[in-house]
This record gives sequence, C-alpha cells and structure tokens, in this order.
Amino acid sequence: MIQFPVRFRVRQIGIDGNTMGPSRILLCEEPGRFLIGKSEEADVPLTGDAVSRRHLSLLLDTHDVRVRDESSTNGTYVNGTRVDEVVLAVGDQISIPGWLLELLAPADSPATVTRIAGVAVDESLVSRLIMTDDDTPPPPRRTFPDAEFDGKEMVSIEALRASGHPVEETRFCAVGGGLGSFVWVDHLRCYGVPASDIRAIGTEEVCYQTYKRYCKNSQIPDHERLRSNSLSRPDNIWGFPGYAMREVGKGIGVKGIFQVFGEPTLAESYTPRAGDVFESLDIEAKRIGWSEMFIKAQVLGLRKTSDGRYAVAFKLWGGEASGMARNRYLIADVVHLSTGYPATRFVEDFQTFITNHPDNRAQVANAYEPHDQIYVEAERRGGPVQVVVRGRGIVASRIIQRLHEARKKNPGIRILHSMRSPLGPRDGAIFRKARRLVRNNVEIQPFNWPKSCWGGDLRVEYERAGEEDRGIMLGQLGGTTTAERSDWIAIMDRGAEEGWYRAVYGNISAFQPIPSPGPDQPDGVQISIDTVEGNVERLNADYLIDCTGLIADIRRAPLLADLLDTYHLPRNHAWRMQDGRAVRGAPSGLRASNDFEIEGLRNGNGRVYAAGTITTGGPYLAVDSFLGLQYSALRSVDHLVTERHHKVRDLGPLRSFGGWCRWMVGARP
Amino acid sequence: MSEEVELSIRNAGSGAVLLAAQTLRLPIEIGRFGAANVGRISAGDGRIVHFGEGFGTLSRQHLTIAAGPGSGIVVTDMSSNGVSQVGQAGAAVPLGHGGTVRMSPGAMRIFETVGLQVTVCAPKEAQVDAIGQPLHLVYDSSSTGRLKALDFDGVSIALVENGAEVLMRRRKGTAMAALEAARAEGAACLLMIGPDGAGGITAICGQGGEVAHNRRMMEADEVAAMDHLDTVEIRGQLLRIMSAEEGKGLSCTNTRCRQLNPYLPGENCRYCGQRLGDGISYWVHS
Repeated sequence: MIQFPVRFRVRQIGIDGNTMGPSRILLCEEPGRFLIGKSEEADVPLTGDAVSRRHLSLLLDTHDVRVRDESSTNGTYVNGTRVDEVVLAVGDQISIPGWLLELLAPADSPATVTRIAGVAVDESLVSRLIMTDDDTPPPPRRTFPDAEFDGKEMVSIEALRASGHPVEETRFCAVGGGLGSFVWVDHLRCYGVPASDIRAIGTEEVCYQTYKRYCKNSQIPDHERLRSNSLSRPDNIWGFPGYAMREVGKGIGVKGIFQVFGEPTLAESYTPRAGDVFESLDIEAKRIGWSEMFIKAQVLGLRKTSDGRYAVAFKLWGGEASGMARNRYLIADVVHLSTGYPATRFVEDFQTFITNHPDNRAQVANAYEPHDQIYVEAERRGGPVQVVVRGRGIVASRIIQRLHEARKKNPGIRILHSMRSPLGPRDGAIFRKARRLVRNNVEIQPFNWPKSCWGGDLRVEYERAGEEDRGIMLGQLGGTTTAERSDWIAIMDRGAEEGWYRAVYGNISAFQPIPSPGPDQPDGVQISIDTVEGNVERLNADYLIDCTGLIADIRRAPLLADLLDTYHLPRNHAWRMQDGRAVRGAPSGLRASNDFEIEGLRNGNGRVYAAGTITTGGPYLAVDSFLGLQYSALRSVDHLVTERHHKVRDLGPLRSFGGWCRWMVGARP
Repeated sequence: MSEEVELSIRNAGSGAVLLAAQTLRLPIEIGRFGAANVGRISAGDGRIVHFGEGFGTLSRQHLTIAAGPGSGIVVTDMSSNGVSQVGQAGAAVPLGHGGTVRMSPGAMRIFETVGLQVTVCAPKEAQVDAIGQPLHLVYDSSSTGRLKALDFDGVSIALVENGAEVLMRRRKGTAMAALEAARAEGAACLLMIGPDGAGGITAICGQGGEVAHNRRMMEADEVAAMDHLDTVEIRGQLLRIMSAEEGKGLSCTNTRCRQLNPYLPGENCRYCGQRLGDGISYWVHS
C-alpha cells in the first residue's frame, strides 16, 4: 500500500553536475497523474532548454508509484538507466536534463503518528516544517507574479490577461519612483510626452523621500547645505537659473553674494540648502503632474512580452484594493529602472555586534539609520561621553559637526575619529599631475568627483574608454573625500587643540559591550583596534557611529537579482592596479550602453534604460549625483528621439527655449 | 521608543487653527522656508507639511522634536526669538536657545512662540494586557503555502525533531513546564515557545546550536523573552512572533536575514540594513 502524501525531493542540477539552489519537496497528496515538463499545463513546471514541454508523468495509485516518459526529446532516466515506464521504489532517482527527483520514504503523517515516547500526541500536532539539506533558506512563497513569470524570459499578454489580474497599458514606465525616476519623467514631459502616456511606480509618494530620509538621518536637516553644484537641479533640465541665483534673489548678504560670484577660486564652492532642493522638486512635481502619473506600488518583476514590449508586475500599496486585488500588470513600450541603493552598509564587525548583543543596539548606529537619540542622550548626560566616529567621508564630517553642536550642551563629549591609517599632506590621491588636498587626515574635494567628470574632458575620456580603463579611472578619481568647508576643518583643528577630538588609526577588529557603570547610565562599547604599528588598542566608548555608507550591490535588490538571473545580464566590474597591471574586482552595476540602455533587455522596439547607482562602472562616473541622474535621463531620452520608434519629438533650440519659458513661469509642459 | 507624535498649531492671538492635529514621524523640525516665509514642518519620513505663510519671525530651524532616550520625546528650542512652555496655570516658561523639554509617553504640552501655539502630544506606549496574550506565532504552513498564526493562550508550542522534519506541537502550560514534560517523555525538543507565567512569552532553547533568536544562535536552556517582531529560526525555517495589537510587520528580503521589522517601508532593516520597501508584509489580526 502506498501511503499518501507521496514525497519527492526535487533538486536543480547545474552544468557542473552539482546541485544548485535549495531543494524543494514535491508533495503528491492523492492518487493521480502528475505531468512534469516545460508546458504551462504541467502540474510541475520545470525550466531548462533540454526539458521537453511534456517530459514525464508520475503515476500514483494505491499500489505503486510509476514514472512514464512522455516521448521526451532527451529522455527520462531512473538510477542512470533510460526508461519508458517503470515502478519506483523509495530512494530511486529520476533524472532529466537539469533536474533530479528522488522518491522519499513516507513521512509520518498526523494519522499515523500515535505515540512519541509512549505518549499519545496526535491532537497536538500543529504543523510540520519541511527542512532542506542546504543552508540556503527556502525562497519566499509568491503566487504573484511567479505563476506567470517564473522561469520565463518572454510572456504573452494573453497569458497575463488570462491570469485574472488587471492588465493596463502605457508607453513609458519608470520603476523606482525616486529622484532618478522623477528626473527621467521630467525630461519626457519637457520633450512633450503627455502625462497620460507615462507611469512611475514606487513605494513613496514624494520622489525625494528616501533621499531626504538619508539626509535627515546623517544629520543634514533642511537648512543645512548638500554637497551639490548650483546648476545641478533635478527639477530643471536646463539648470538655469541655478540654486545660487535663486538664493541671491532671496537675499543672502554680502558674504553670500561674494561666495556665489567668487566660487570656487575666491571663495568655497557654493552648495544649495537641502530644503531649497526639496521645495523646488515639489514645485516641479506639481508642474509636470507627477501625482497623475505616480502609482504607489512595489514592483515585483519585469519580463519581455512576445509583442516587443515589457510586462511590469506590481503590487499596489495602500488604496482600497486588498489581498490579491492589489496585484496588477502594466505593459509598457519603454521602461526606466532607477531603484537606488538597496541597503545601508553594516560592516562585518558591526553586524556581528548587533547580532550578538541586541540589547546594546542603541549604543551603535550606522549614520544612515535613525540615531538622534544618541545626541539627545549625550547632551543630557552632563558628564563625560566618548563617541567613536568611524570613516572619513562627508558623512563623518557632518556627524562630527553635529557632535560639536552637542558639546554646547555637554562639554564633556569627546570624539574619537577612527580611520584605517593616517594621511599626510602629501598622501592625497594622485591623478596624472593633480594631487588631492589633505587636511586632518581627510582628503578634501568640493564634490565627490572632480568637476570635469560631469561635463568636461574627463567625462569624454571616460565615456570613450574601455571597461578596464573605465574601472581604473573610477578607482583613481573616486574614493572617500569630504567637502571643502572651513567650518569642518576648524572644528577638527580646535578639537585636537583642546583635546576633545582625537584621530585613532587602525582597523576596528571587534566590539564588545561594557556593562552599565551605574543606574541611569547606558551601557558602553569596548572597541578593539588593530593599530598600524601592529598593536591592539582597546577603547571604551559610550557610542559608536559608523559612517561607512551605503551598499550598491544590485543583487541585494530582489527585482534586479531576478532580472540578472532570468536574462543573464552582464555587469560592470571594479578594477584596481596591482603590480603595474589591471586586476578585475567585484561586479558592480548593470552594464549599459553610452545611452544608458540595458541592451540585454532589448525587445524588438522595446527599450529598457537605467540610471543612478545601479549603473555604477558604466558610461558615466558620477552616476548617483543630481547631475548624473540628469545626464543619464538626457542621454536616454535623446536616444529615444534618435531611434524614432516611440514618437518622442526632438527638443530643438526653439522648443527648448519655449519649454524653459514655461518652466520659468511655472506653466505645465 | 516613540516613533510618532501628534502635533497641531493655532494662532496664539485669535485661536484660529493653522494646522489641524497631525500624526507625524520623528524627528520633526518646525521652521520657516522660502521667500514667502512659509511655515513648514519637516517630518522624519520625508513628509513636509506647510501651515501658511508670512512667518518672518520664525527661524529656519525653530523647534525640533526628537525621540528621547528610552521612551518619550524631547522638544528643543532652536530659535532666535524663543519658545516658551505654557504651564497648567497659564504661565509661560521660556526654554532658552538650545533648551529642552522631555515629555513622557502620553503627555501633552503647549508651546508658544512668535504668535503661534504648538500643541504636542507624545504617543502612549502600547499596553500589553496580561489576560489574553496578544502575541501570536506566525509561520508559513508547508502544506498549504499560507501564513498561519497561533495564539499562546495557556498553551506552548514545542518544536520537536523527528528525522528530517521538525514537528510543531501544542502543549498545555507554561514554556518551562512544557519543556520539562517533553524532556521527561524523551522527546527531542529543539525549542519551546510559550507563556512565562508572568504575562509574557518566552522561548527556551532545547538544544544548543540549533535555534537562532533574532539571528543570534541560542545556547541550550537559554531563555529569551519574546516580543512583537521577534523571530526564531530553526534549520532554515523562520517563525515570527507578532502582536495582534500592533498587527503589521515587514519582512526583510535579504535572504541571509529575513527578520521582521516594524511596518515602515521607507526605512532599512534594523538587522542588516536592507531597504524594506521591497519587503514582504506580515500581519496578524486579533
């Protein structure tokens, strides 16, 4: 007698013959015939070029379990022997190209388990957790859009409509809904594409919400200045008038006017206030009708369609729809991907500490996560408070400025600035004949790239370079720098002089919690630093603020990971010089053409473009800057104009001037 | 720690409502903006609320409200023209530039400044009723493919090793008593989750090196107090503890993490830093 459910372990086999990914358990609950193959009608759909549409059947009745080959092209094998039809025994292995199915022994079902250790336990059984042998956790269960998308490179619109989920159509779809999407949509609107032909999908209604949150968390409130150029205006494709002119118009005093007209040689580079940027984005969003185009939803997948377009699967967030009714498909001719940074960087020691000591989570923070309570607590305590700031980028500078402000309330606050190694005045990065300025162990540069990377000779040189040369230039011109701000330099100089600021050099190797010294006193953190001299220095601190930044690994974004796996998209790589030759490093962004098209996703006349950090290592250096987003939008929309497939009209000088006049008076494009 | 605050603004002279009560995410900044001196509130989730214009005497950064240490919130005067707290007797006490007021959960305070009256209410902390446990165990049912939620009213859930499988079994009584009983019967109990007898829920590890609580591996006989959004992982399967009162959580999509976070789609995972916007939402109804 066969005991149901009959269970098979299903494993995917890679080209090297090893198993890939997690194993899955196939449960056949009752007698019957189960078709396995690539066909959509198959009970168990398996993917692979060598799997036939109808490959084999599992025939289950109360007496035996059999396997029958359904005249497949590449055959069905049981324990290594090709078979037509055969009865299976427990442990038999069925192999077809790329897959292995193993008949498992029957599980003890609730009906058969009557006693464990002599005690009746039937009624207590709530559930059974099926385990896999490998460490990889099982993939999340998702019926949408996996039923239509999983394992398919191409889907038909008819199949999507047949799924019962609403299917809408549009011409242009921006995926992400953040600043990158906004700038692209703004370009389309200024080029004359009506709002009714565009959809932007994202989880936050305001396009700068994520950016602003990162600013706020890293202690840049609205009245503080960003590290961006006056003419880099994500709300104005012409860039004129810049933020500086606007600020002059509001009245910024003689010193401010001198800075605007004297920068960058006679005065420090001008940078706009965060709040001004957000306010101007609000105005432009209203002008172009962003709210009419925006869909608040989470994008779950993207596939090519058989008619040369793209299907975007998304789940509505909020609104009246609930449950499965939130799942939708949007069919678009052109898709733009700009999903931003997928995570904040938790370096290994930081991750280990928060995993092992969750109770001490309030003592350590990444600068991009909310951590205002650290300043409030340090200000309130009145006694000595030691804060370790790790990193030497711009975020670290701003955090040190914030701690300096906190010292006005609690002069007992001391700052330990942790850096890997000291940097002398002659240690700044060198690019050809230029060397970066170094002050207080920190490399200084007005913006995060030399200015000619945006629109000057370095942009042209970089665009023309091959992958390897691009990677080398990226390494030489990038790196960690902070802005040229005399107040930040003065804070560090004064702190070192007065003894409340000290730089410590070496790699942080471990953190350990220190128990609370007394009632109403928070716990501390002991930080071990492997110093440059080879010693271990142990520092006791009250807080650690880690300023090591954001993660750009596109594999951390589920949507992009799915695209990489489904379409085997090529990626850019980091490069570094070693012993005089270029060595390829870790993969970085999606490979894009000079027009920011992801050519691996081309589908007839359909086009997919990308922007922002997901194109790192691609055709432009400063991809994640305001001007970088504008540049990529300009190139991709110009590409659409040149190709003439999608009825986007050229923005010649006259139309452009007209468009700018409309922008100036706030008229809808 | 409080994450939101309720705030309203009136004209101090006429009493006219300039901003009806709004629930806003911390930290909050109140100030003026732009050439028209627009009154503007900037919330922690990036939301911006305007409350009229012509506030020339309001500083750019006038008043901030941030989460305080522990529970409660802290209001700080950052203005040039000063902020006063209105006492119960109607007397106004100036905070002074950089001065702060701490507000405990549930407290309401009124602040007056440059002709504005700002009312701030710190949210009340969730009260967990010891009678009728609101915490549930939420898990993916392998047989149905759906989420299931189990309550802990007077029962514990045992995770018992059975060959390649782990069986989830209900047992009466507190977690400690149920674990002792299971061990006395010879069952290989990997984990017992259930009432601690004092109104809370605990997880007791049966065998070391098998179970992780919030990503940290537990030792044998280690007891961990369970709270809303805690997770326990056992051989790749994740069980989530959720409160029916809080209702909702977002699961991290990083396959190495998968922890449950508060339902704040714009934030990043507090365990690994992954953006939660792509996360899977979990919820449990009472």
